[in-house]
Amino acid sequence: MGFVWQTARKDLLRLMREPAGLLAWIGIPVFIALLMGVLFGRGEVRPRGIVLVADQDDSMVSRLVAGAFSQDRMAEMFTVEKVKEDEGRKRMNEGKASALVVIPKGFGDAVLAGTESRLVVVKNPAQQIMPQMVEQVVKLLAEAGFYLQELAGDELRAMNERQPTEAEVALMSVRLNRMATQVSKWMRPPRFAVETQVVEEKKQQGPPVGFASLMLPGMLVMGLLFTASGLSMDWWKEKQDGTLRRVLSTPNGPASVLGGKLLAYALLASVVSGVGLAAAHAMVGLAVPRVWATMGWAVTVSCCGYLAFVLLQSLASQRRVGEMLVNMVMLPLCMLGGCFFPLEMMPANLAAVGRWTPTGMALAVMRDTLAPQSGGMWWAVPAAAVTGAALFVLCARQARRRFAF
Amino acid sequence: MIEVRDLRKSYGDAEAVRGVTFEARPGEIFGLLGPNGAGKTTTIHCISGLLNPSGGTIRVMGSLAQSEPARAQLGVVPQEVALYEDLTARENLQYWGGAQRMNGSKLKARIDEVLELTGLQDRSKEPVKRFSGGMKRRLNFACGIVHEPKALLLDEPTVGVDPQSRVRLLELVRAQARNGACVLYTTHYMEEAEQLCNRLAVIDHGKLIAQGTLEQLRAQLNELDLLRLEGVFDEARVRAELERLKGIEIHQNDGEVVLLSMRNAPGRLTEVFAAMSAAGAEIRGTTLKQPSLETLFVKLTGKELRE
Ligand SMILES: Nc1ncnc2c1ncn2[C@@H]1O[C@H](COP(=O)(O)OP(=O)(O)O)[C@@H](O)[C@H]1O
Ligand SMILES: [Mg+2]
Repeated sequence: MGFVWQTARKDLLRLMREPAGLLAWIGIPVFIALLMGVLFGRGEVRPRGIVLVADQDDSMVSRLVAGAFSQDRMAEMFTVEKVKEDEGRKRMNEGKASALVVIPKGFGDAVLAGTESRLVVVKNPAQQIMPQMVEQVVKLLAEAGFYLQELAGDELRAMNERQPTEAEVALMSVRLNRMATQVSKWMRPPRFAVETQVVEEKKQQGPPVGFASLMLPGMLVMGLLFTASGLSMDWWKEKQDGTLRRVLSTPNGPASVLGGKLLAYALLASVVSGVGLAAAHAMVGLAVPRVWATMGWAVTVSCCGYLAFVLLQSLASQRRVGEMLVNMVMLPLCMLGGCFFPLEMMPANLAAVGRWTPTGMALAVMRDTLAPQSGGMWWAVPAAAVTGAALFVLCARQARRRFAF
Repeated sequence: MIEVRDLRKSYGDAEAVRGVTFEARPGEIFGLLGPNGAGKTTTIHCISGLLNPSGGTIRVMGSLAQSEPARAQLGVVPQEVALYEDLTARENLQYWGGAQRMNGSKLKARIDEVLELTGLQDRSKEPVKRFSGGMKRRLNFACGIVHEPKALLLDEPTVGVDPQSRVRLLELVRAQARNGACVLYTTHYMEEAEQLCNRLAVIDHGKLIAQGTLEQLRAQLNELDLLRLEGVFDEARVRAELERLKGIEIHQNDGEVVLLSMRNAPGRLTEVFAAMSAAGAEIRGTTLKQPSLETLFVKLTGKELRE
C-alpha cells in the first residue's frame, strides 16, 4: 500500500510541476459550457416554468401584471395560467408550478391612487431558478408601477375610465415591460410591497430544473473525462522514458503501479468535482449531503473512465494512435451522452441512443444524486465498482504486456 | 551471485540471445562486452525479470529471476536514463528507494549518502530536466544503488557521458563491488571493460564467444598484434601478395581497409609494406595495436568493435 500511495504522490507532484495540461482539461469543459450559455442564453437551458396568476382584482393594472409574463423573453420561459387563489395554492402545494402570483382585490385602484398595496408571490422551493425570476419580475413591475404612476398616472387613470380593450392592455403591457427593464436601474424604492411566500417543501417530483441539474453534471463529467484522457497519456510518457520498465523491475507488480496511478487520478477527480460542486453549493445552494453523494459518484464513475482509457491506450501501437483512439471514443460519448448539451435539447432519436451510452447513464445517475431526494439509482454504485474492477484486471495485464515494451 | 544458464530469448522469429551461460560472483565486476545489437540489454532484461526467457534458467542470489526475492536483491541501472524529469533529484531517489521498500530516516540518510557519492548534493533540489547529460547519468546510477542491492545490473551506464562523469561513475562501480555487491556490467567500450572488469564474457549475435579473466582472454590471443592499414587497395593483388608472407592472418580487405593480425608486428612492418607496394597499394594510414580485447574481438568475430 505504501508503494501505491508513493506512486500517486509522485504522479500528482509531476502534474503540479507541469499544470498547463491540467488547466486545459478542466478549462475546455468550462469554455464549452460558457459557449452553450451564449448560444442558448445565460447558462441555464430554457425549461418552461408555469406561473399561476390569481387575479382577484381583474383591473387594467392587474391584467398588466399578468401580461408582463407573456412578453418578449419572458414568454419563452413562462406559461401563464389564470387561476382562482385556492386552486392555485393547491397546485403549488403539489409542486406543479414555479410560482403563484396573487393580485388582491383593489390592487389596481391602489396603484393608480398611489396608496399602499400588496402583491403576494408564492414560490416553489423545489425549483431553483424559475421562482426567483417570477419574484424578480413582480418586484420590477412593482417598481415600474410606482414610477408609471408618478409619470403617467393621469393618463392611466383616464384609460382606466374608458374600459380599454384587450389589445390596448396588451400593447400597454409590452411598453410597460420594456420601460420597466430600461428604467429599473434608476428606480426609487417601490411604494407597494411584494410579499414572498414559500410553499412548504413536498416530496420531490423530479430533479430540480436549472443550472445545477442541467449544465453542471455534463460539465463535471466532461472535465473528469478530459482529465482522465490526459492522465491516461502518461502511460506513454512512462513507457518512452523507461520509468515504467524500471519500476517493473523493482519488487512491485503492474497492479500496484496501476493502483498508484489510479489513486492519483481519483484524488485529482475529487478535487475537480469538489471545486465544481462547491461552486454549485455557493451559487445555487446545492445541499451539502448532495454535494458529497454526487462527488462520490463522479469519482467512482470517472475512475472507470480512466481505466477504460488506459485500456484503449494499451491497445494502441503508439502514442499518437492511442491519443486518437481515446478521443474518438470520448468525444462522441460526451456529445451523445449529453455532456455538451442536455439530452432534453437533442432530437428524440439521438437522445434515445444517448441515454444508453456510458456517459448518458453516468449523467442520469448524477442528476439523481443532485436531486434533493435521490430517486433510488443506488444500484449504479456497485455496477460501476464491478465494471471498474474488471477494467482494472484487464489494464494490469496489459500494463506489463504492452506498455513495458 | 547472478547465474545465467543457457539463456535464450527470441523476439518473434529473431533470436536475440542464443544460449548464454555465465556466472557473476559477489565482490566482482563481471563484464558483458559486445557491439550494439549483440543481446546485452535483452540479457539484462531477462535477469531483471522484465522479459520472459524463451529458454534457460536465471538465478539471482539463489532465487529464480522474476520472483519477488530476486527482484528485491537487484539494483538495475537501465541503458536509457529512466528518471522523472519534473521531479528533483531527491524526489527521484525517494521514489525509487520507496519502490525498493525503503522508507523513513533510513531512506533519508541513504539518499544523502548517494547524493554525496554521485556529487549531486548541491543540485538535489533542482528538477532533473535542468541537469546535464552526465548529471542525469549519475542520478540514474544513484537511483539503482539507493537500496544497496546485493546484485547490480549496469547496462552501458557511461554512454554519452563527459570524461569527468565517466571517471566518477567507474569509481562508483568499483566501490559497489568492493562493498561486496555482485556487479554485471555491459559495455561496448573495450577500454572500459579492460579497466574495470575482473572477469568478462564477449558476446556477439546473441552468443558468448569467449569468457574468462582478462589474462585468460589475452592468453587466447597468443600475443597477436593487430595492424590496420587504410588507403586505396586492389583487393585481389593485396591478398595474393600478403598470402605469401607467413604467420599473417587477413581479417578485412575491402579496398579501403586492410586488417591483419600477426605476432611481433613492429618487427615485420618493412616486410608488410614491401608486399603492399608490390600489390600497387597506396597506403594513407597505419595503426598498430598491441594485444587487447579489441584484437581478441577481431580474432573471434572477424570484425572490429566500433560504436
Ligand atoms: N523489443 C524488441 N523486439 C524485437 N527485436 C528486438 C527487441 N529488442 C531488441 N531486439 C533485437 O534483439 C537484438 C539484441 O538487442 P539488444 O539486446 O538491445 O542488444 P544490445 O543491448 O547488445 O545492443 C537486436 O538485434 C535487436 O534488434
Ligand atoms: Mg543495449
